[in-house]
Amino acid sequence: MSQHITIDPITRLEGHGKIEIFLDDQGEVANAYLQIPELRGFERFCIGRAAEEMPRITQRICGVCPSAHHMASARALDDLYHVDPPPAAHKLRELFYNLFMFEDHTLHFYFLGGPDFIVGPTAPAATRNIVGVIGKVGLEIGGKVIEARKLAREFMAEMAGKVIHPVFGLPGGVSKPLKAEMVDRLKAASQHLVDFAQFSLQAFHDIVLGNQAYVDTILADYYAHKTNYMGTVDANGKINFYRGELRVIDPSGKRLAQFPPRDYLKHIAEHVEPWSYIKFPFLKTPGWKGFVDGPESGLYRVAPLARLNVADGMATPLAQTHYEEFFKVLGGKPVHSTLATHWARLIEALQATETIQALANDPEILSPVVRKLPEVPPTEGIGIVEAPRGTLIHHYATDPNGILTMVNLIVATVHNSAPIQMSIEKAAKGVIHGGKADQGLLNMVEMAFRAYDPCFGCATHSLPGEMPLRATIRDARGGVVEVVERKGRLGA
Amino acid sequence: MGSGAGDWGLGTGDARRSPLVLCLGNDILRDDGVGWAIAGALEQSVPQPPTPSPQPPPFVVKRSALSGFYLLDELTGWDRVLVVDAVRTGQHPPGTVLSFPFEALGTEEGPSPHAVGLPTVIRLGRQSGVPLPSWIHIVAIEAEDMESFVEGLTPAVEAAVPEAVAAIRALLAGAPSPASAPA
Repeated sequence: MSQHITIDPITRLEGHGKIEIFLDDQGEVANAYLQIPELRGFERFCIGRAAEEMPRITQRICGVCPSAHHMASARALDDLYHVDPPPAAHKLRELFYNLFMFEDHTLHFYFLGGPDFIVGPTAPAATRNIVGVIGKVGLEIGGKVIEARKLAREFMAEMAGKVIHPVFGLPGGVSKPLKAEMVDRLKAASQHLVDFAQFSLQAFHDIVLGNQAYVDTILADYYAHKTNYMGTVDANGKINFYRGELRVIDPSGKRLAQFPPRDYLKHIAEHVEPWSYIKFPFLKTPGWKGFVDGPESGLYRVAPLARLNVADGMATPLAQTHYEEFFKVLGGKPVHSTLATHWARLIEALQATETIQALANDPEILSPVVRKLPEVPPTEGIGIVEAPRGTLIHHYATDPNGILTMVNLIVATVHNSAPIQMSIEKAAKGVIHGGKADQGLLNMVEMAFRAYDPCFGCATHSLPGEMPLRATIRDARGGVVEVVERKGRLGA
Repeated sequence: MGSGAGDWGLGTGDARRSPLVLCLGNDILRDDGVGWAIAGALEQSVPQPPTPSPQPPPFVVKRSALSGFYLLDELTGWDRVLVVDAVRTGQHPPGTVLSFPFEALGTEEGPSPHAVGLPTVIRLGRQSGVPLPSWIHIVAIEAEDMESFVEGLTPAVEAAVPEAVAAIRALLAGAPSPASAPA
């Protein structure tokens, strides 16, 4: 009988993710599995409802990224109702969406993912957070982060009514045009956002890239996977978060496919494993080869690193200079080091701010023509955006009255589910030996999936607790020999 | 740029001098919607003042579906907050109304932004200079089902709404005034 380690959030309160690590008789890691919640219940919930409700309903999937679901849903409705929004409507959506990408990437980097690097991956957990970042970057950084995000979110609220559950995207456009007074404020604020994004990259450059130990951690083999990659590019092959075509490259960087959203089912299929209710997406060419990386792998990854890998470059000039440095420092395209995702995230945040600035200065953004009404009965629609965590697909079909008959959603965490499995297993094999797993080792395993920023808790929020982690090490007969635990507590 | 509340333009308005009842939840996830059901019941229980009213409201009710670190955005600038949410401790029958101070929550780190809890949010926010409440109290309702995509509460949880509303009203009556709220 093999030994068994479980990292298990106990209740929905703290999220759904569950990691199981199986050891062999020698105490070495044999396998690792990640289980995440399914969305099928949500999809069934939507059947029979009016499709035009979807931009409002789908936001409820996630307490973290409602704006991404809202925008993917609006794009799907454009397709469903066979209507292309006026140019100004596309620009308003793109402005809203880039504000969202900036504030989300910024929050993630400073408070959640970045501290692993800025403070150091082996630093005590108590300092591996914004407090440690303040210690490294300077006392003013906390305030800067909060103010920059607040600025972005206030513009989003002004455009959409509210940041949480926006009422903004409609089939064929958006709900209202912009006011000149707001655009004047946005022009001034956008320079502040660009400056902040550059400051973040400078801090990353000074602290992380200036320390060879950190660079070595990024490049560590147990955080690397040679997979295929997928992301959205514009007509020039540059990264676009809001619209474009999906491009897929193989582990050597060779382009495997490029296709419009409508063709995604020609290229992506889902594999089923008996031990998980999650389906594992893979590329039909080369096909399902199991949980393996390398040239034969059918698995692909999404998220910031994938987007940088597939694109010919960034869409904005300042971000482009960092893109070039990124691949120069990390050894050329594609980069397979999962932890490089954090750096890629900052480069994307800079592109988002430059895009915001460009749109704020585009006269067309003040056009009152922001919606084209649908004129053709709905049939089937597919909308794809790049969420902060990767490609997000919404696919709907309706009857002629617009009542939903089919809903299929593929969120970023699902695209990445098989690679996350591999990353956890590889990290576990790298750091857990002889059946020993302490807090430091668990953090190294957690870092593997923290880089993906996986969403365990789609459709949930969490009142109090922290995500509890429990590692139970069992001997060959199943008896508990050691429990490493940290979990949230409820009072009362 | 600084760290005082005034720098953010928050926390100085009359509305934010009132206690905030922050009702968390998702009303298409069965009992996860109990926070929002309580929000509705609370709003109905208070006579609406003539608008505009010269007096700050006795309390402000806000619904939110945010989670993890994103709760920071909901809390910033308020001085006294009562958080209402569904929970599943597994230690109480569904519909049990739990009431406890924020300080009773654990403070361990979460590994993901989706899994960071309120204690971490508050602690890191305060340490980075965000103006956050000096008084937080939790009212949590033990849930039976928070996984099914269904509108409406299970009977036991629905039956607990009046008790939760009464508990919240009592807590608000006894909440510290802004001037005397402990730091």
